[in-house]
Amino acid sequence: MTTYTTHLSIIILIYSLLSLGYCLLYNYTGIINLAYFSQFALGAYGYALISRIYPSNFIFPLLLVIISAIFFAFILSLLTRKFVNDYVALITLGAAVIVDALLKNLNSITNGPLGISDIKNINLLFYKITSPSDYLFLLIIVTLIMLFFLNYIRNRYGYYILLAIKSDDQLMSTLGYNVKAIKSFVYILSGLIAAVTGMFYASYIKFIDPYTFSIYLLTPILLISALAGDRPSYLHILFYTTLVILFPEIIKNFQLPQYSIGPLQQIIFILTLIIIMLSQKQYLIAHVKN
Amino acid sequence: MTYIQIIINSLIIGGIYALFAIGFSFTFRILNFFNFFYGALFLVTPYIIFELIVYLHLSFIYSCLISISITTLVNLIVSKNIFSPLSRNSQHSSLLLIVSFMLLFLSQNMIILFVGADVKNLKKYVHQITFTFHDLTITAQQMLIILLSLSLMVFFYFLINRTLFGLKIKAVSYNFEISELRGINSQGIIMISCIISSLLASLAGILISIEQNIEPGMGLPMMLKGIAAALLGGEMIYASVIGAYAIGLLENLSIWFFPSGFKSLVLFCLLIVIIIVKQRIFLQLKLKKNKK
Repeated sequence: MTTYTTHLSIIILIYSLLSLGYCLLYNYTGIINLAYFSQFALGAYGYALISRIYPSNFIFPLLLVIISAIFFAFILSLLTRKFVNDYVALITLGAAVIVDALLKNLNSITNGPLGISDIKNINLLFYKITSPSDYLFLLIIVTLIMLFFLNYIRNRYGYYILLAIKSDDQLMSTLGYNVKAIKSFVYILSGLIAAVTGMFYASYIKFIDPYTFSIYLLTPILLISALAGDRPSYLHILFYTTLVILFPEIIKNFQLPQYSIGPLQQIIFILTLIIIMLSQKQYLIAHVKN
Repeated sequence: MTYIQIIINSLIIGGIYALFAIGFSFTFRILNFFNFFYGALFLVTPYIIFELIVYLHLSFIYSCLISISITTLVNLIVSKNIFSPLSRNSQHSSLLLIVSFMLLFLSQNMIILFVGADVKNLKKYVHQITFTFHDLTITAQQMLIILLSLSLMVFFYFLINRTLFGLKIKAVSYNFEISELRGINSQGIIMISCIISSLLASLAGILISIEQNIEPGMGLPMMLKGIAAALLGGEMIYASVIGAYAIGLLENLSIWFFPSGFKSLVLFCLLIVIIIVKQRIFLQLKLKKNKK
């Protein structure tokens, strides 16, 4: 494997994990979370800052990131628990903008818009992970652990509860399910996935700044979630992530001016997303009727 | 003197926010979701004016008129072809919000692609006349902004509360089908409301372009401020106007007390607090949907 393909595979795995967390929240439970990238940023910044203080220890940053991710997700779920749809989107959007402003302005902690560079590699007890192939291997293991964990939860409780909450949460609370607690649990689960992924992202790329976690970069994730449909399996998500990540690589071959690649890519993503949403309406109705 | 200057600045920026908020509450009444595309209209108008002035060498007034008509047309097309089919068929109103949010982002990216990501200045194309009283300075444009926003507010207050048209808008926003049954041309009312709202968005865009520099990222913060003001007001137009002025004042005061970067932080904390405190509006909306 060349370095280029290894790098692409790592990015695809990272994005597929991110999309998995997002799909759990939106495609299964019907909660829209525009602060998703803030949770991603929380993991990345958490790792970057804590690993400076404890460079030789990996468990301690991991634990701290997990605790702060749970805390942040719990606050989000508390803020949004009385609301549905649009208001949830609005509150999470506000939260995302607040986190963005904090990242840009708390210069003494986050180094402001300049970001943090030279982030330490992951140090697993006796083995320091440095090369891209090591990272790829580690990410595959992390993905497998997460999938195993999610599978355990599915076998224990069943995804159908989430789908039922998506269809009609009032009915579910009438039937005796604690809808708010289940929603909080899903928030925490997806926040954890985002934060842990963010940690690996920061340690692999070695440089993060507030613009890496801009609200607008949610577009590829939204697109993957829309493409993957109603009840996606991980393989579905992985397939569509590969499509979405490889697409910009094709654009780069056309030798367009450098400044136009980013916006052009976003424009194509958004147009595809809108077309899918416009054409998917029949599909959504069919699901609700079932 | 500084305090008076802060109040004058708040009146200027609050007036623009108020215009924006009135237009937003129009679309919110009719479409019943947070239409982020409204922010795109606000964002695109100054850029069209800029392009018309720079490349076609038109005068400022003509380019304003052309850009307003273009954005109005685009708004009509988008609401007819994207929002109304989605709102008729979709069970999730968050789908509409995502689509409109993506449209705002689309316009932002198009501006970056075709015009450039850097800050543009439209102020230089407008003749500046400055009045100075002791330490206070105010330009003729700023006076125009204050007067225009105040007079338009009064106009819309009467339009909504004292005319048959306002009553029809209320009826259509309350229940689309029943107002059709009672002989109101609902589609026509929706179309006129779309035109009015896009006029107000474009006007706010023009006024902000002669007051500040324009940049591609200014759509979303403005949109959130407009939403905060509209939610603060709820069903009443004049309350959202007061909300918009309060936001303008808060913004100017927060620059006074905090570093300028924290301006947005204060505002969006306020937005979240407003949404959580003002659940009344949310409940009203829910009742409305249940009645349908």
